[in-house]
Amino acid sequence: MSTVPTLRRIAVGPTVAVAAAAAVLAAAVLAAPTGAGAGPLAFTGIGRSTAAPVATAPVGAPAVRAAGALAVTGSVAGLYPGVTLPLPLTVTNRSAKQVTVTSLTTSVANASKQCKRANLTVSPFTGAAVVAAGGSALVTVQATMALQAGDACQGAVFVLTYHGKALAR
Amino acid sequence: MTAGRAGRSRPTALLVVCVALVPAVLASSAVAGAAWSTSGSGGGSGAAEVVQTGAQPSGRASATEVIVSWAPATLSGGQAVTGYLVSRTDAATGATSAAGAGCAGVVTTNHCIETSVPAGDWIYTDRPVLQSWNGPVSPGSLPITVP
Repeated sequence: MSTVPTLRRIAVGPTVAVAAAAAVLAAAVLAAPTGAGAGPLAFTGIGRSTAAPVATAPVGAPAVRAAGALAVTGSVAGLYPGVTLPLPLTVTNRSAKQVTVTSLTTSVANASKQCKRANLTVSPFTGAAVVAAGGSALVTVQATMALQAGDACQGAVFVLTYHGKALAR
Repeated sequence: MTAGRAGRSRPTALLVVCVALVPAVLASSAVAGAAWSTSGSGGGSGAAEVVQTGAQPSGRASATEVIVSWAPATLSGGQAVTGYLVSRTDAATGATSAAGAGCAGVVTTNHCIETSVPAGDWIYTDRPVLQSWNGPVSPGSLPITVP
């Protein structure tokens, strides 16, 4: 009585295995960030924050995530009420492909309980900055301290966290 | 016989379909690899300056007027302040009050002439300001006698 079910399992087995193998292969290929005609590339990220959502890819070329290929650093000093100062940001491209930075935004943390983040604003970068593979580029944004920043903000240090997005072909 | 061939051909047909899918999947991947996006993060800081202590003022009296002056003050980075708050203290009692007419409010120069000063010995100070920031009060002047 049990022979028939056993034979059925044996007959169906190879089909399931082949389908599963194809599915795994397809998933692996789709998940790998690849350059045009190149083999899969792997990226790792740095920084305190999580990666920002990826930008929209051109029509007909679905985006593939390569999270963490960018590293952004930069600081500004000399802030006082009402002043706007240039804040140069160094964008480093740690991938093996040239990228175009399309967006840079900054999160400002409270400097202290009395000197809140609202006392400092940093303009976003929305242009297009090309960064060579393994290279870096300088992008300048503007940092403004509020005219109403109180005495508690004298000598304050605001921690800045940058988030960048880029596209590559 | 027919039933047996049909049973064997089902997995074979599925295998053919799966193998045929592989090139399609690879082609799709090539399109995806033509453009990709990435992101990243990093950190930095924004540091604010401080208002430096005002310079000790000096002065002299002429009848009921007192002419007071002091050296300009700056922020820690060298930026000039936008004004000064002037006060005077009664040397006899230690009572401090804001300077009156001629030196009242924010003085935008580094000198002023206070008028109608009561008789007595007065010690003047200046406090640098920049917008909403106030610096430390300067050391007091030597006593200035108003007859």
